[in-house]
Amino acid sequence: MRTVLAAIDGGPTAGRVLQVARTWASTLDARVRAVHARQGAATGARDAAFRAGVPLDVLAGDPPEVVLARSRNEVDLVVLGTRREVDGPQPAGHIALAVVEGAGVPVLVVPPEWVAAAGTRVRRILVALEGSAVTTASTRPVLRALADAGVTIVAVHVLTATGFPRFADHAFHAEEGLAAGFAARWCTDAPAEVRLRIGTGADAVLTAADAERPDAIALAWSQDLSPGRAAIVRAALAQSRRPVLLIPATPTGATT
Amino acid sequence: MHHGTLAALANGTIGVVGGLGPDDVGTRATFVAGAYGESTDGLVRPLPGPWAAGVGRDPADATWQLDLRTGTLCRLDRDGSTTAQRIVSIVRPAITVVRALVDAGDPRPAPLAPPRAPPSLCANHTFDVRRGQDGIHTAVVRGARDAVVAVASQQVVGAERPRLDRVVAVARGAGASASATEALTDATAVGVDGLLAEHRAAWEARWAGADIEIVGDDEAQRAVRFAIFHLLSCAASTGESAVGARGLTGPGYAGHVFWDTDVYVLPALAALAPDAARSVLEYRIRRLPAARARAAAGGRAGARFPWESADSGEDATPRFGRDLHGDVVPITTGDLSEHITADVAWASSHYLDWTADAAFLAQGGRDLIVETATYWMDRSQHDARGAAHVYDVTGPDEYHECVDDDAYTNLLIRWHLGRAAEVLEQEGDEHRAGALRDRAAALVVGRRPGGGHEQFAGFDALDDVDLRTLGRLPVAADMVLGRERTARSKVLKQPAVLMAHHLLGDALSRADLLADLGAELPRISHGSSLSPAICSAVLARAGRPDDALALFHLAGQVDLLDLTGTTTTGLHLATMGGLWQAAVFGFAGVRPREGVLDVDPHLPTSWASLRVRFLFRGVPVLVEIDHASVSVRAGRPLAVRVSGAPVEATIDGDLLPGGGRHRSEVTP
Repeated sequence: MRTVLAAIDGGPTAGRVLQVARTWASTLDARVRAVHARQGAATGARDAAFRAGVPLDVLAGDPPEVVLARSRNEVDLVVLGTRREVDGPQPAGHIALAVVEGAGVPVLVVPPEWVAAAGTRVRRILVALEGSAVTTASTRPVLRALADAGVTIVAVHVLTATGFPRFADHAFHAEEGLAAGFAARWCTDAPAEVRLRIGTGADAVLTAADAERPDAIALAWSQDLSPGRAAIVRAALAQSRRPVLLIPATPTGATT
Repeated sequence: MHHGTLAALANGTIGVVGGLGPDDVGTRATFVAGAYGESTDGLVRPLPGPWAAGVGRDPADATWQLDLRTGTLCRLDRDGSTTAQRIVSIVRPAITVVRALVDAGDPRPAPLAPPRAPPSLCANHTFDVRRGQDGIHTAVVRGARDAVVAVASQQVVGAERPRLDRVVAVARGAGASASATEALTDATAVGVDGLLAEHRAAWEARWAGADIEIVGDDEAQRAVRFAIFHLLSCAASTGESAVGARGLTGPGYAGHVFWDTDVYVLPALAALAPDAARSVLEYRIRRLPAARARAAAGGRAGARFPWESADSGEDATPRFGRDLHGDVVPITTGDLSEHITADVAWASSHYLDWTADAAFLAQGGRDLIVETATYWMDRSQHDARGAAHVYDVTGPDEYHECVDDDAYTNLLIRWHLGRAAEVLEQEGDEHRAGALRDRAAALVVGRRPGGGHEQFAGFDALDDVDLRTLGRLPVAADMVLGRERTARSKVLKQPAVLMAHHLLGDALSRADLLADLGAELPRISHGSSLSPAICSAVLARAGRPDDALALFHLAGQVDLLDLTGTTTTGLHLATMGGLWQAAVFGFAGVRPREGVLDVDPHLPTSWASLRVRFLFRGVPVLVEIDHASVSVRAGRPLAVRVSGAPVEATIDGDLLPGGGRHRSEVTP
């Protein structure tokens, strides 16, 4: 059975993170566990976990290290909350960034203003696909699990200057054909509604997310936030009002 | 092959796409000519047919071989032996056949699996399956307006190495169930050996009259034969053929019929399969009432054909779409791409030039030419000085919408009015003919001081954009520059004035051809897959065959290398038709002129020779070209000009396969 790990602090976001974790666990037929890195009394975390009915492990240590260590123990998805850092030097809090950069499994980052829609299941995911073997392979296990659970997958592919179509024939049909061609090539394992967009990657993905209203934005990435890297991930963490599912990109796509 | 569409087989009535096994449900589908359903988005879409395949598993490492010579799709195992094959019979329009070895590890006869719902089924189409006591499966796909019925039977034969023989019959419309059952009964009586043999013999006969042989360029050879194969497969030889932009090879373009059919596909059919060309025109003839109604709805006389059409003949063009910014944008081609009305007339005239089908005019062809010309008489407007204009249209270059006096449109209208006048004069209606000729003479086509034509009024004042700044060509320039900036620029999507030169030939002067080639070609981004082949044909005709060859190769790669990224939704038949035209009209320089076959070849340096076979006015012809000589062989006496000089074609009785299939149906 799959395990969803909710990483919570003792603050007001803990309840929301636990709610999101339960929603995803329900969708994926998984169990939920919570983890809290104790840096003092763990009362807030214990109360939140108790109210949510989620078993909690309280461990001593540096929070990112605690979460990463726990995530290596038969965990399929980590859910954590983050602070909003729109104008800060980093797109999210340091704990969240350390976890997403170090985790070997997908991490769902829940923004502070996210209020889950009514219902107990994930219904719609928007995934940004660049149209590469690595991205498709990396996202495949997650998307297939979600698709099998009845989640609608919307794949957005942003056409960049080097990837503009060479031909686009008759209006409307050409766009349909390009989307179908992209789906046939890159979305074979999990049926997806493909949206082709043009523009800068981050803006196009976030605009598509505003239009599609998904329960999360899924991004495969190389877990490297050094300057000049991961522009879309940075923008999504800093600006998205929806949870961001960060999937480690590996050449083999082995993301558990 | 990485796309099911490259494994497509069709016979003009049904088309089957995808692999043979039960797993290939992602791409496998059957498409039925003329069958449409209205989907949940309100668009008319092709109604897919059920397919009763599922014959053995398609191994992931299987090799697929499409045998163009015999029209057979083969699945090969690692040692190259055939483990399964499929045909879509060109002898029996309703029939497809699958023969497959029974899996070695599972010698039991595979049950006739009930067909699965076609993958491209729309939400408001229904799918029902039942099995009769006779073991015959019947499956029905039903849309709002139509239904497709498939019946299938199978048997296992051979004891030592058993194989499964499956026959499927597909029909549509009223009485489809009975028609399919009757076709299945007849086919079963012939047996699979007989069905395969008659199909392969028919394909050999087709190739004997339609092949193009290119010595010295294997890539071009493969591309042009692939194109001929699908051109010959796209239309039926009887009744009407609504050849959609992707034919019967995929769901793309909703099966809708565009000008692609009239000016790109039909010329090849007129020369290779005149009966099929006639069926294509019959589709237009039967939609003349809808075309008249469209003209009347706009307050015009005559007949106006729609930019996109399906079964009813009403305009099926989507009115809105989403652009790549996700914004809803209007689609104006349905209102503005009016040139299709002249294109239909051009196709009718072209068919007459190539076939001399004396009955065609009386059977509706006359109305295709004259009633459409009547529309232009009403559509064009005189200004105060007596010049005639056509305002607010979009020509073939769709980067510039809603322009005035589009050169392609007006050149075609001018020709169209003249052609209709000829028909009226033959009928003795000199008065009306004179009016048409007067209007043709008054029609404005912008000219440049140094020669050649301005693409439309105001084009020469637009911004110059160096195509090299757009990156690699071809490219969809409107995506690079944006729609608005592209519209303000001189960047063209595809040949516009050059398209008029291509279609009208000697009706325009060679000096204008050269001037327009010099002015327009450097501005074409080839953002349409229709573009490279036509530019290739024009370049060859202008005496630049080596320049033409690069674009010829590009056109040949459109589907074989999936240059558009859309081949999975069907093959680009118009590109294939353009490729054939580039080979025959361009490199071979073959054109009819006043009943005489003109041959004025321009062979690329790298080609050692070119051999082209076709029918001209019912006479089988073989044109052989190398760098030293041109020879023309014909099945019967034929007037020919080679490079302007009259010659006698060599009579070659061997060119009359089976006694000349078309002689009884086409008047020489």
